Amino acid sequence: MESLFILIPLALVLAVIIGAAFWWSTSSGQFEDLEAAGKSIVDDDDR
Amino acid sequence: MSESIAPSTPEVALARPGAAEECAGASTETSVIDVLDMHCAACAVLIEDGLRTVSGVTQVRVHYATQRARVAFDPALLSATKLLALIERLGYTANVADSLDRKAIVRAQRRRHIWGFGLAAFCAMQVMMVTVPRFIAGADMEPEFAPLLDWAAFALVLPVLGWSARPFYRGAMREFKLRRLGMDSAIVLGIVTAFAGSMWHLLAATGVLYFDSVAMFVALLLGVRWLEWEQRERNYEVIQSTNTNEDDTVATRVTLVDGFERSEQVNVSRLAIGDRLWVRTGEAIPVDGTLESDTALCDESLLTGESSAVLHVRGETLVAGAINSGAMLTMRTTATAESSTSRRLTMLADDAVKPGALALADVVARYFMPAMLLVASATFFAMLPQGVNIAVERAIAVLIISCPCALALAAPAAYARAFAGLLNRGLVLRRAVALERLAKADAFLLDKTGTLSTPSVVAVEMLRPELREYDALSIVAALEGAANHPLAAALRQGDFSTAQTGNARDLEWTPGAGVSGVIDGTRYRFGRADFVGARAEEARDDALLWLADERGLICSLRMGETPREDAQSLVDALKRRGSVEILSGDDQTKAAHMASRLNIAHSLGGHTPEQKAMRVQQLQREGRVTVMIGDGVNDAISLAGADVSIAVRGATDAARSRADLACVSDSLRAINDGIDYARRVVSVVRLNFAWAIGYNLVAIPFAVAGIVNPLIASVGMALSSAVVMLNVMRLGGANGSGLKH
Repeated sequence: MESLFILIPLALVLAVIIGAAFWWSTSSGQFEDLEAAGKSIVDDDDR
Repeated sequence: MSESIAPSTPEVALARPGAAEECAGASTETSVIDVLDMHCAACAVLIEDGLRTVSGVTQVRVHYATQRARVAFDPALLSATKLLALIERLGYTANVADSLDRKAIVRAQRRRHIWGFGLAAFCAMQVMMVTVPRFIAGADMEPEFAPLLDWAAFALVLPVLGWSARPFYRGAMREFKLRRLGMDSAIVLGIVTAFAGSMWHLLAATGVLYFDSVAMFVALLLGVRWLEWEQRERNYEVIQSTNTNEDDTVATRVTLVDGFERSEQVNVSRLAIGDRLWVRTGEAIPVDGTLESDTALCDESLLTGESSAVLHVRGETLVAGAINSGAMLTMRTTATAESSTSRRLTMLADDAVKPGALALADVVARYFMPAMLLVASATFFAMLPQGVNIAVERAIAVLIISCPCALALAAPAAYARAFAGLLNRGLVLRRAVALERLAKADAFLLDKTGTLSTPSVVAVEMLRPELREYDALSIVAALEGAANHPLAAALRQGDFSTAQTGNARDLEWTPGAGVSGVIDGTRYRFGRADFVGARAEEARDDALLWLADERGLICSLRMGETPREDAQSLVDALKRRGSVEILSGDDQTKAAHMASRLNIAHSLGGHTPEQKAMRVQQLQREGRVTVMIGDGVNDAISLAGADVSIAVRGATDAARSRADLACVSDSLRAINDGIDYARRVVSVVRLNFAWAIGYNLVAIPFAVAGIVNPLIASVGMALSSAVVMLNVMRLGGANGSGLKH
């Protein structure tokens, strides 16, 4: 059970990393248009 | 009454210096402002109250559905920039309407919503991860692990309270500044009590922590708020797109060709700065401009709240959206439609009177909070003998569970949705009160001409062989250019208006009789037999209109009317909802004829507006909810005093602006669709209220009794709001059919 003393802080560090990743993806606008990417496959214009 | 519509020369200008000064003395300017972060109807009330006390502000109207504030102010004391600053000081993001910044602001807001909610949800789940073992293990847990897990929970709750929850702190601050307890104050109070209680337990290493409850509370609230924001944004888009597609906003542009005036109907969006326009009686000023006629009477009540008509003299500014209540005027544009449209939109959406449900929501939001605080503190003191821990826990549960979000959202969210939903079906909801009545409507009174039928020329009899029928009708169309009644409109829409017409001068219009004017040096008269000087034996037939010049009669026009394409289906649909009758100013035989063609049992012809109003009152005394549908040519709508008034498309701007609902769709089907939709909205509002009130009635005693702990309370609270929002989204609307074609 002593492993908790390492695992819990580790979980916190991971949480910070995931939080940072989420912040990056939000601020680069990845959640703004969730439909366009899916529809782009049926787009005739393949540039 | 006659009016000269040729532009008079400057020398003849009736200089009325006094009038100009009068206007300057009592002058008001109107600003339309986008307020982007209102999250409930209470915010609208808050801004209204906050601005109303400012000196120089004459009228404030904040519209929650369109996210717009319209402020009339005295330019001597205030400016638009100052107004923006005032609204910002209340804690909202304000922007001049239709500014290009809006897109950028909306994008930033969306990101903030996603980030705030995402962070809170993520952290809340992590907090759960470390608190659940504590719950499960309870006393079995080895004591050295407890602080570790508790401090981990503390670390994970910090981003939620320190970052994600900031909108609630800001909201509570603005409510505090205005000395009002609102939704945000309730939320912050819940957060602070739960957090402070937990910190105390954490430091003293005693008792239970509520970090999980707080984190969940904030995350779920942000989720609901984001949902609501997206919903509102979608409403806004519907409103915007419909407004720009509204192609019935035509203006009459006048050009001089070889010294003659030529008028043509132009889409408002195609007007350029410097165009000369005619604005007929009852029409709205299409874009901003300066007056070229000597004087003009304008009804600006929808823009400034000034109820009496305002007299303008030559050279003065006319504001888009004001209604010409005097004689036909000539103006020169100083702005394009884009720079004036925002005024039109806010003009169309005007809810001075709050419907019952919305007013109730305001009252609830205002009184529920203090009541809730009382219950929470009473719970605290009542439980104190059982120990501080229990007392704190119960009080927190009460505070969290009874957060009045669901109640506060119940009606406004549905009404905001209804506004967009109705617009999508082709109806502009001008007064939200009408929605509740429309849902209950069971007596329908229909105007005939212009509503159920369109007047048309059924036969032309030429009395002079040397003239072609086409030429004669062209002359008639030119003469009718200045008139504003269905026949004139029908002729204008025909092919004739684009022909060699429009060069009529010295037009004189006698309402109810006819019109005369000079074309190519010849004076023509068009109208009833006695007006043109027809012989008595020819004048017997009432359905005939005559065209004559100085030498005598040229032709006769037999006027008839054809039912509008979808009149029959509208009548059939309305008959399933209640009684249908025709109320017409036209004579009884014509009204009866139209009624029998459309299978309507009752028709009343030859009614003056006063008689129409009496008929409406009679029905109301019988306990019926009346709907008057008309085009407002003879003021039927404003005078009838029906419970709900609907102006059909093609109605005069004056009627459209006075009616509760204005049809922007060509199809009469919109009216029936609108009634269906209104019923659904009202039932959703009712359901929402029942749910929100029922939820509180059940949940609060549970929280007081300690059956519900703070965590479950926060989930319950958020779920109750989510149910309300989902209920509203169920209404649909943004994706309906309607104006799509």
